[in-house]
Amino acid sequence: MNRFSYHRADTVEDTIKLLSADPTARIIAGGTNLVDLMKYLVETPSTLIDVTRIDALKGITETEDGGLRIGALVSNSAVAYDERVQARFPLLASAILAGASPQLRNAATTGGNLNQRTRCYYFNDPATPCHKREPGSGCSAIVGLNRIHAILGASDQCIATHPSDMCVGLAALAAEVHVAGPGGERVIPFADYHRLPGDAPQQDNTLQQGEIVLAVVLPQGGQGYAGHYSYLKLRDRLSYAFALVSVAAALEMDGGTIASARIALGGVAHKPWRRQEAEAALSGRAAETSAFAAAADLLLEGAVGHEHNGFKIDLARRAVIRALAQAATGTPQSQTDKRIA
Amino acid sequence: MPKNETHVGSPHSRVDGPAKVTGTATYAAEFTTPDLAYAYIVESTIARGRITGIDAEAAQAVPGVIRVFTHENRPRTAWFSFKYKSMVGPPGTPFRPLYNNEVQYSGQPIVLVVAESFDVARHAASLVQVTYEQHPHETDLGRARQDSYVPPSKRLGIAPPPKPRGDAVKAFGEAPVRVSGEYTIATEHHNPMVSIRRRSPVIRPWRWQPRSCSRITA
Ligand SMILES: Cc1cc2nc3c(=O)[nH]c(=O)nc-3n(C[C@H](O)[C@H](O)[C@H](O)COP(=O)(O)OP(=O)(O)OC[C@H]3O[C@@H](n4cnc5c(N)ncnc54)[C@H](O)[C@@H]3O)c2cc1C
Ligand code: SF4
Repeated sequence: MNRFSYHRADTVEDTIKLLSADPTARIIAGGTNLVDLMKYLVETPSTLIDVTRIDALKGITETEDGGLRIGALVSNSAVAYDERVQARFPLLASAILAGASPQLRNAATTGGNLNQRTRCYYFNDPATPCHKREPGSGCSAIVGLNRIHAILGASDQCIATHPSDMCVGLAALAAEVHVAGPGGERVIPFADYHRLPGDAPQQDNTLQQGEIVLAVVLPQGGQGYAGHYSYLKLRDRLSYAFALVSVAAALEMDGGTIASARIALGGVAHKPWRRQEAEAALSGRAAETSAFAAAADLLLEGAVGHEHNGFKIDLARRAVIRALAQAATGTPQSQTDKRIA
Repeated sequence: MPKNETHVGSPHSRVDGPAKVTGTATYAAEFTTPDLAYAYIVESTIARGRITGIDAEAAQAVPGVIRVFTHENRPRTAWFSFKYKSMVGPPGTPFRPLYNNEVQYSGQPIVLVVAESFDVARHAASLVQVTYEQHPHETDLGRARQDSYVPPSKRLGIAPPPKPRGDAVKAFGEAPVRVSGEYTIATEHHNPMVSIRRRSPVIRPWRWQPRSCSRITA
């Protein structure tokens, strides 16, 4: 491990000052991703800024318009087991519980989950070329093993996926990311927080140098989906594995008719994948397989497979249909009994 | 019902479960003895070829490093291939660590850094520079399947499978309903819960005696 210095920040301002002064400084929260990357020499920060004592980043609070504000330091477990989240945004609770293990979820924070890095094998192995880790060095995955890689929105520079489950739920619920930096505070719609790799795969998201995530805000509007949702995660092992494909599906029902729909895919792109056209196509339709299939086709339009991950296209299509059916009938995928209902 | 059938499908606690989950159990690598040295393995970063140079100067200069072993300076080790054979291994020539400059697979142990602490060994290992002459390789088992090796004999002491009965190919060809598909199963690793710590065979200073160091992938 490289030598680094450690600084315990007392305030957000303190953190911003340190981050702005040194581009190689890194915030450390739960440390469940960053410390691993430091051991692999993928991350070699000069300074770790420990933000875990900053009160302004803690707690879940009500917003004025009836939504919930989740502080960046709130653990994944605390979000998933919060009564308000379970009652009003059960899709988020379910997505979180589909990920990692109880021990990891106890340590992992909301801000850390948003900013976790890809699980691309080559990104995590400094002996191999990787544009994301070392811009300009090449992409080993495009010509190498790419079973876990992207089928949507990839570029000829990078085909990595964002590995989070929580973020797929947040994308479907149209959350907001509140950040602060040298220029003050700003609000980023969730769909704009993570980015596609394009020709700058080293940038996972739109957070600027010197900025810190303060909180994630769930808008009141997402509550309409509490009765009809499902988070369906498909993976090589039923537990403790990242998604090959995951689907966050949520419907507002009017009898047997879909009033509105939200669908986000995980494991398939550099960011949680949503498409307005696919969601709009479900509005006013009867909740039946043909409608779900049409939405799945729209959502997956333009999907391309690589040597080992072509199977993901059909898998994703079927998963979308299944998750929408689970949502429509009000029988969400259980995250404890993992057999697919 | 035979008595032991009641155990099938019902949860049972491991005797050492509480010690392990509460962190009070001592794992093999956590025992210390006086003058214990620690080692960290540097692995090959190419899949096939030859090592043309190892620059271990920077690693050797780190305070606390005892010695950096390579195929060029290792102590004398057993020469004959059979000395390395495991009882259940398939036929063929077993891998001999630090034997010569040949790289046979990616991640092959090629340098062993021995130091007074694990952290020093790991840091020094990151400073070792290796150059290679790279040869073409194929690491995709699927693509290489048609060239797969058929061993002349199976493992010693294991009975051959029974002779086939009937004619499966013919029966399949004549079946009124046929379901055909290719199924692959995910990789499974054999991960012992208590192992000699990954990449750190415990060795006694100046005696070349790595204990079995299975490579464990998390
Ligand atoms: C074995 C294993 C299995 C896992 N399985 C899953 C899974 O199935 N599904 C899943 O979704 N996740 C999974 N994870 C990932 C896990 O969810 C993340 O590691 C975790 O959420 C990261 O949170 P953390 O607080 O520990 O972040 P840290 O490791 O502390 O930080 C991660 C990154 O976020 C940055 N950061 C942290 N807080 C902030 C902030 N407030 N503002 C700006 N940047 C910040 C850090 O600088 C760092 O770059 C798994 C992890 C492991 C180790
Ligand atoms: S897919 Fe992206 S992260 Fe993976 S090797 Fe290519 S550039 Fe690196």
